[in-house]
Amino acid sequence: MRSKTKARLGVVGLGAIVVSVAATLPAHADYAPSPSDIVGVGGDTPQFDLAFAADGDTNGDAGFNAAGAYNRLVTFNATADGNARAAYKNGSTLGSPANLNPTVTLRAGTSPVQRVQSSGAALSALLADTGSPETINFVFSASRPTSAQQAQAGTNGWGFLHVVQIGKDNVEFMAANNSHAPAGLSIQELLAIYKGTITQWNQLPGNSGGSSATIVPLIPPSSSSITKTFLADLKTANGGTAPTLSSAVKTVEQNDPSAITGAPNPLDAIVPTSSARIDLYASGYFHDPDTVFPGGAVINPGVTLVEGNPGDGNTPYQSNVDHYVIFRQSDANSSTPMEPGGSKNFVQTLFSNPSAPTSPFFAKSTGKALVAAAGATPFYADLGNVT
Amino acid sequence: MNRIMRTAATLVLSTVAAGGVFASFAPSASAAGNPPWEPDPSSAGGLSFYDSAGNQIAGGSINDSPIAAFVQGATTLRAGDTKATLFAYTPVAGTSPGTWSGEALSSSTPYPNSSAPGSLGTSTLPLVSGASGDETFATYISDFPNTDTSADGYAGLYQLRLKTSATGKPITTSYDSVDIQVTGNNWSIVYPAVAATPTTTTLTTTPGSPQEAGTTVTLHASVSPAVAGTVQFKDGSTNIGSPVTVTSGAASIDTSTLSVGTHSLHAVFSPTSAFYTGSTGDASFTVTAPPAAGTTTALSVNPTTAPAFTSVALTANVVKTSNSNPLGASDGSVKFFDNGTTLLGSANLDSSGTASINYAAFTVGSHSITAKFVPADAATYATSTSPAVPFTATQPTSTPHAQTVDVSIPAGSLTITTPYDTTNPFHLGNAQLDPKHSKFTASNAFGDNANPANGVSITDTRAGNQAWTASATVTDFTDGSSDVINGQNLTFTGLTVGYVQGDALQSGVTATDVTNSAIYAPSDSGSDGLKGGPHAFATTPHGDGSVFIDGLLKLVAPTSTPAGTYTATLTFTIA
Repeated sequence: MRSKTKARLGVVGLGAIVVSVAATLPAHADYAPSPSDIVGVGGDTPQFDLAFAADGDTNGDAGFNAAGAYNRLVTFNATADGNARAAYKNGSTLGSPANLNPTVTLRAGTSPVQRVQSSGAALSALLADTGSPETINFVFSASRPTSAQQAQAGTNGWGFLHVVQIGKDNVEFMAANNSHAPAGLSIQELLAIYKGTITQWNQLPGNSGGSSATIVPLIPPSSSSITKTFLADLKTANGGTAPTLSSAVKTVEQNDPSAITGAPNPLDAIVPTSSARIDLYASGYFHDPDTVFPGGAVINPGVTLVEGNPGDGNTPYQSNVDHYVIFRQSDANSSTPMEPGGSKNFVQTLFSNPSAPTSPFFAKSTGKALVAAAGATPFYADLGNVT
Repeated sequence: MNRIMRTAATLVLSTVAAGGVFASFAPSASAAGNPPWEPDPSSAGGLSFYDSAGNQIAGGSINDSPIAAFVQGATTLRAGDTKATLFAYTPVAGTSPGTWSGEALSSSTPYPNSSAPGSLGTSTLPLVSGASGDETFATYISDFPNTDTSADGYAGLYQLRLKTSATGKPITTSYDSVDIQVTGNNWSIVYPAVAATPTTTTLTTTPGSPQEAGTTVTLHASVSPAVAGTVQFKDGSTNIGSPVTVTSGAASIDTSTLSVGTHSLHAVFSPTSAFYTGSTGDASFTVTAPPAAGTTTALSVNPTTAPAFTSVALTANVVKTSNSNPLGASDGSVKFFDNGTTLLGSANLDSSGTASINYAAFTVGSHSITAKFVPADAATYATSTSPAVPFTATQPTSTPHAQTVDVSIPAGSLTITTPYDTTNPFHLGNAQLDPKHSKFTASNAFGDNANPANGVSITDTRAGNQAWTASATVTDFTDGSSDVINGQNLTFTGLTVGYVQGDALQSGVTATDVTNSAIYAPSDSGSDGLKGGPHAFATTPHGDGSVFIDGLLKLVAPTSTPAGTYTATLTFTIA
């Protein structure tokens, strides 16, 4: 079990979760990559692993591009916002969210296309990128490809989708500091909450003295690896049958504390999240977005992880979710070096080199340190053709 | 953004190049021996490399991870920065260093690093602290090989750069750097040039000089500054053991094999790093001979009572007192005495330290027998005498009859003779004029191999095998009136010794020519040549037998000598 800082940091009012996209500046998204840059898209959960690995963290740790590589490692976050918040259209509400569908220019000289905003969408985009030269070179994901996606890669003539694990993470539950939620929630209690059979805090086992307020169960989009992992755990807890979620369950951006602090009743809102993201918040990476350049104070996210002992006597909910990079096997076999004068293609340089397993950037201490800076636990494993 | 900046930089460089700055990359504009691209305009200073102990190094193995335990920049690239990263780049001929490909060799490590050794731990200069997982330079070479094999000055070279960063600050664009040469599995710094620091080595010994032979002596070398390397201890030019690794500025070795005498000991320090010069510490050490080892002699007498004139076995055992080990066959002999003074006989030690005799002449009465060990080398073993062992000689079973037997050894004589006398003088013959050197010369063989008896005959029949020395002296030559040839002008040279077949004397006689150094006038009163003396011309330390001494008698006279026949008396003596 991961050790977390349990201090509740106080509620910070970030206003409604509806934000104006015109006021946000993506941290790593305005650069239009050249045709020979190495471009990755992916899900929210592992996005900072790749962002830091490419360009370094804010602690002075140099990223891959610090060497002045002619062909850069370029990653596009799943979130259009540098603070990893979702962007919604004007008039969007929690009950009726209206996703902005932000866009991004994946290659210089091309028109903006819808930003890839989840691991699932990233794999779909990669499989759809069958032209030459490639627009998307790799995907960062918290999910492995499905068997169908592997089959599609074969049909595309790529051999298969090659999977490399770069980090470990956990799905845990996030609540506001001073939340009405009890110290811990088990998967059995969460199953009841998300099915709607328990709607108030004092209905939870062992919590009859708790708040009588109505629980606000939130969940990230269905394409989110966090959601997929949580729903799979609910299914297991439900005897192998996928439960029907209560109508009270609302969809919010994943791994975003403002989904809690911006909810109508923040003290009663809970949502599954990446524990790595909460660690990243604790590191001081995110700053107050309401302050103009050079920026405001470090954000106090106003949330905490619900990791205490549940009242029903079961263990608190926590589930593994791993961080991966996924690329075409045909690229692993490419004879085109990533850098002028270099001897290794981009896959060998960055991700996988069976003839020198410790030489890829993500297998080195340098790359691992940057994955750690993003909140995840560095873990390098060249998994190859897996689902 | 970086793409835009890079493009802009390229444009600026191209513009400047049009003004001629590109010449700085041409070999002809570089200092002799420096890489063609140096000085690199983006490099603010050099780099210093250190091992884990803080010793500066100038190279190493490309298979090491990290390439060096610590890498320090020479300049503060940007005030306030707190992290440093080491990068490697592969030069490409004819291009600016800013366009070269490369990658990071290290993580970004914080500095100052108080855990770094020595002054590195307190320095505020940028410092990369290597880790075992850092990329080896061999891997880098695999990633970005230098394929230049021409003579343009780029072959085998790489550039290492240190850049800095800090929380909230991107990595610097300027850097500190060095250029390294890779040869085989090793790398070494080639630019900037490395200046070596002198070292001092001091040699001391424990215990101090002098010491007895066999004493274990520890040689201590102290190296300052305390840098890595080895010390080869030497006795003169001979190595004492193998090189010893220097630890914390010290190295030592034990030896107990220094021979008796005065030794010039040396500690030759060879630094690991080319940043330091070697040095030698010297010390004089004297080894003295140990005192003679004590011995213990034991005596057994068997039987201890017997009739007079019965054979009695006297057996002595001699051991080294310190360890009771028996002495050996070559270590000496034992003399057996009766009543401490009467020598009964002696015998050499055998390999077990035993010497024995059988003595059969004890007269009736009590006897006190002792055995005295006499060492072959008094410096090795000391003399020892056994406790007295009594022996009683009883009346013999039959009355002995003592007889007296005598013999006379003649005194013999020592004679020296020649075939010549006043009635049969030795003729030197007619002198020959040598006008070139204004002298007369006359000479004749005084015996030779065919007629050895025509020379000097010496016969020694004396008892005692004594030494002798044969000598000669001559008077001035006169013609019967007042004319004289100085006797100093007569010499006896080319002497040979002829032994007589069958005699015991077949060697050992040394003959010495009797020469002179000038042609003397009649009035000169010196004793050169054969005049005066007498002059020894043959000698031997043991002369029993006969020998012949032959040679050439030669007279040189000044041309002022009046004509006539001149005679002199040549007298041979021996003693």
